[in-house]
Amino acid sequence: MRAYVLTDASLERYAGRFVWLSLNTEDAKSASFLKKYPIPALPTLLVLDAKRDAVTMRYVGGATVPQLRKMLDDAEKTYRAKSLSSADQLLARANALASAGKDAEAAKLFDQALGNAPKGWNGYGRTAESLLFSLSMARDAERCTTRALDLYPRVKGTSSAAGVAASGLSCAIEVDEKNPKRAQWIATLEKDTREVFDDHTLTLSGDDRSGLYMSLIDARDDAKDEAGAKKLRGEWAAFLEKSAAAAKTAEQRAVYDSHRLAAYLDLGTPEKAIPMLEQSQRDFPDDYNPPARLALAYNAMKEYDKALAASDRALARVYGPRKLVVLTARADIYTAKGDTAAARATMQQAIDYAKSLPEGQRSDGRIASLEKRLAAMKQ
Amino acid sequence: MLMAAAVLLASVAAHAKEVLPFIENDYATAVSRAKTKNLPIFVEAWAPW
Repeated sequence: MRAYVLTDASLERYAGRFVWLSLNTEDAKSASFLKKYPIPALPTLLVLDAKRDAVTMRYVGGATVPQLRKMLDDAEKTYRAKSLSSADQLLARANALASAGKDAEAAKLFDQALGNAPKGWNGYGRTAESLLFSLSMARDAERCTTRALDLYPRVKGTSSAAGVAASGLSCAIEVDEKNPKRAQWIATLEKDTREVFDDHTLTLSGDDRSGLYMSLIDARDDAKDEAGAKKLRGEWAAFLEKSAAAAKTAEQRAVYDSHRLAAYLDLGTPEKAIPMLEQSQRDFPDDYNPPARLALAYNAMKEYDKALAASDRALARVYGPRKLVVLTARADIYTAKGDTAAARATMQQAIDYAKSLPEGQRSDGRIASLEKRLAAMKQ
Repeated sequence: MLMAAAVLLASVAAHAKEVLPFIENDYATAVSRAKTKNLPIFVEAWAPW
């Protein structure tokens, strides 16, 4: 969003129509905001009504410039409206619940908003996506799947088609394997996802398309289709390389580092990530991400001393909850190297750090997970 | 994409200041300004990863 969308000149006309707040969720100064509005995935876009203390719009995910312009237009209209339609009222209540982390309750109201939607309602696609996201957060995979199957024909050909199809497919894969309908649900949603993927009339952002690859790969993995999954992973890596090569700035190129590394690790070719990450390290010397990713790549290459040196550089730069990811990756490097004592000490360091984070950034679930990992480590 | 598990493409520390006048990590200032000017607040929650 920051590298590709929020710098677009066509957004200038909105500059004086909103107060613009950029919230780095890793920054300690963001903790009080996060306590009020837990952020489940990044990016999350919100439009808030400060006078009424209400959530006017909420969207979890990235957006293209035209999608963002539409969101801003719709949100401004809702903010200025003297009265709201029943669908908009239900959506506002659902957004408030979802923003407070109450996803099961939010999902019911998102569903009611869709049921009350007038013909041609602007919010239909985004509400469908929000419904599926809340159902997935509430771990209701079956309802998420069946609603995606219902909703896809309604949003087909729109910018919400990718989100609905891929979210539905991800949910279908999470459905209990004993469910006799699971295979058919996956097959249908995989077909829908492929349909979006192949629809070149849709303008998809790079992360939307990359997300579609990931969902399709998950489906092939679930089907234990090794050849199909490998072929898709190769295509995914090639797509990301092409996108990075077409980038106009270093920031735009580095946007693809994360998924390119994931693709190379999945393909068993971590060495391919080294040149791009070294380039990013040169381009962004204060950023912890390039060395943190180099540590993962070198670990996969079994070059543990290089991995630890990269981890040192990342730890010198990282801050906020992300430091936990760097520390647990460092513990993994020590484990792979056979230094169990150092691995345990690093995991304990991660637990202590997790407990020291301010409310809003501290997560009891995360602390419990780290403690479980430490308990499972060999003495 | 909406799935939390499918971590979205990383944001990098590029800045959008040239086009949109972002307030950095200061919710209280944003609320105060929004109330004074009667404007909605647009929030981009992101992280440098």
